[in-house]
Amino acid sequence: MIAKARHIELPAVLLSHQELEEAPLPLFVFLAGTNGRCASYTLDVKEGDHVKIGDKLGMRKGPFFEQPIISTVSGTYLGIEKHLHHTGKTCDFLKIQNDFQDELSSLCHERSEEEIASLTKDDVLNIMKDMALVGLGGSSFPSYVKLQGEHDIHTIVINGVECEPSLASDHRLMLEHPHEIIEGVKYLMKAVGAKEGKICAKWIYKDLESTFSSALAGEEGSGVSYCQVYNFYPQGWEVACIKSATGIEVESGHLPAEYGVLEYNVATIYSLYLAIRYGTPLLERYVQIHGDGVVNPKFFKVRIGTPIQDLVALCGGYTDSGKKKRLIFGGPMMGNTVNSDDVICSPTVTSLLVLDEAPYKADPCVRCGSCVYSCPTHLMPVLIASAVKAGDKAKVKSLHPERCVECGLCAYACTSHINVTEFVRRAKRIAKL
Amino acid sequence: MSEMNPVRSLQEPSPHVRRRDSASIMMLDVILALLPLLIFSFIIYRLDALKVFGISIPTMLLAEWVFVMIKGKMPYDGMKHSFQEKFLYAIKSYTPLNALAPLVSALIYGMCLPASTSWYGVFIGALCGIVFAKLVFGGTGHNIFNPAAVGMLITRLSFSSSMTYSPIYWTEGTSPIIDITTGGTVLSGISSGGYSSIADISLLDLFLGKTQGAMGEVCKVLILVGLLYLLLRQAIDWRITFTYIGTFTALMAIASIAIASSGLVDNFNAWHFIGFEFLSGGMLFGATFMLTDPVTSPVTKPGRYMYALIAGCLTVIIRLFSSSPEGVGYSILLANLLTPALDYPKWASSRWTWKKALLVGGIIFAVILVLLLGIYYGGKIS
Repeated sequence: MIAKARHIELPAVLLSHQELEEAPLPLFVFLAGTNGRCASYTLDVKEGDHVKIGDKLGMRKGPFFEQPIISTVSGTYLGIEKHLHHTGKTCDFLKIQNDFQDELSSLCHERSEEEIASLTKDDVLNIMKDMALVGLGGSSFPSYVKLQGEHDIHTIVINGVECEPSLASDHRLMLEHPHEIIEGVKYLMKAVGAKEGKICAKWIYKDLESTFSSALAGEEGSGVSYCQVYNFYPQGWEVACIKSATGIEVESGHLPAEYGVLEYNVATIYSLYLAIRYGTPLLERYVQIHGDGVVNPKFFKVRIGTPIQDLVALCGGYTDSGKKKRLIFGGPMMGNTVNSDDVICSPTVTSLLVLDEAPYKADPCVRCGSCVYSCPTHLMPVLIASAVKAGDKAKVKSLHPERCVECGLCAYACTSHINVTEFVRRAKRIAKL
Repeated sequence: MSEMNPVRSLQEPSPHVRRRDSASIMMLDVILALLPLLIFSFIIYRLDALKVFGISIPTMLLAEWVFVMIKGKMPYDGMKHSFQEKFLYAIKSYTPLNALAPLVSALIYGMCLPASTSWYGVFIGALCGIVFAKLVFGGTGHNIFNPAAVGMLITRLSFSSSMTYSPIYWTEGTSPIIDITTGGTVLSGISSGGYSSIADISLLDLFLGKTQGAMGEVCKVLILVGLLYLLLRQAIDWRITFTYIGTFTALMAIASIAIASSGLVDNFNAWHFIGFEFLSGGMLFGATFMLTDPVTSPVTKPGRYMYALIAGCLTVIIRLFSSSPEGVGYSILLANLLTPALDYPKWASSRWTWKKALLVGGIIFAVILVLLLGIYYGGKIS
């Protein structure tokens, strides 16, 4: 088929389960010391110390930033254990025994409306730093960095698109907490002086449309609006979402802020609301355990720090098909596999997709051009792949692989089942050398 | 928590799903689209069709099979292996695509030949086509030239004396449209005898295939059925087909206006001339099955438009001004030759640029200039 791929068709067994269950609180909660971005940390607690929700247990040190390690549970600190981060890295985790009291730390203080009204951009930025807010769309990049620029911001785009097929965590969050999200947008708009706040979601979610139209009733003057975007993949990509919401096309290599737009994930905004209003960290996320590799796919509300094994056990474990399983964190298009299920739910974990192995046999490329047609960044993946195979560094560089967002559409659309995306990833590394 | 059975994990890079589609399915679609033409040629040419396809298909399949056997040689590991082991190792690399791709080539190649081609002509053309146009480049996906077009041209050029574009069975008894002893198609009629020799050929007959010519190329209505199927299945790129046909028709229209206004030809009917050029020869067949071969066409949208545009211009120029009556084969090969240039990373891009638009404008302008000059001062058209 020589055609652009815009919708991801999934086999029916992979379609997700939408009913929510509350996962029981775990006996032990694990908080990441190091993680995908931060390689070292310092601790302020000793083994046996009692900690409360919102307590700062130490500092994570990233390449250019520091962020506090904030407890999401009250209990006793037991020490450091090695577990897997969802990116596949082995990381140090702080083990905390849950006392099921959920006591709030004295550090968490609720702000009144007047206090919030007097917050400046720098105050919001400091709150983001103090509460270790990161991009919850999956990047886990510190959120305050986006606020640091000196650009005039006129629009804030809230990305609730979640364009990967079968994912529904952001959808659930928007259904359950529309008012909190709207308040969070208003706080941020006030802080940066933006006139418009656009909450974006796919037009197919009719339930979200009615939820937000009732939640936004009486907010006409605030500038916050609900914005329906297309149902294409990768609509949730920052650039595509901003283009659909505002019509502004952000060129590759530029920041949205240069065009007067800030883009945040809805879950980030929700955690910002909690941080500003109540001074608490984000405690819970909606996590899907799904795919044809688990017995009963389920959708959980999970305390951050829960081991994923507990959740899989609640789903009845893995199916006994005799095949190897792919443990995929994220969606089927961009999610990464890990080699063990000893993974802790960090704030950016929203889905574990367990798939039976299904090897694809690659045929020689017939140059059908589907990857070129599908690429959202207008690259030519087939030419990049052939340049990588030929080891031609100059050719690789001239094809600009650094613009690739690794959406995976080129490999999805490939008629010869070649993993073109992997070639482009390799090209990115070659171009960097 | 209850104990779970441990998981055997597998790591692989994303994405983890694929479109339900494959190159083999694309090849099967082309074969299905060729099926009506195949049945047509078996009904009309009977044993002659059996001879052509009975030679071309096994030749190409066998050549590809030998190639796979050579390419799938066991890597040297310091051990002695029996012939049986080596054979089994090599045969593992034989995939469905290795059977379907030469089958498609052989079918298209056979359709491009007149039924009367001698058996050794079919054999040599098929062998040269697949070996020198495809296998020496590295097999499926690596060839620069369309194997069917190369094979067809080799046969048509080398064995033309043994070829008669025999009249079809259903015109038996009626007087043949063109003197058969000259052994030409209707197009060679216009090439040698001028417009007057084709002025009374019915366009409907051409459309339905009641004429002489290569086996698969004569019945335009069945080609259109195949084209429709391929477009619905998205097995070919409509950009190439429509740009090629559009360029061809537009340039022929300009040429016919120029001929009519020049007064060089008596009793010239411009509409009939355009219709005749459109419906005769291998233009539609080439546009549907040969030019659209993805391996030999560029990969970007602008590249594909330019590729088809250039092929269309070349076809018109060759048909009107060269000594060869049929220009489709040559123009397809020349356009194939430009594919690496159109895909050159330095200027290839998946979006239109001003430079590309200027280039296209320049090509169109130059070709129209050549057409007008050739018609007014060339003296070829009569």
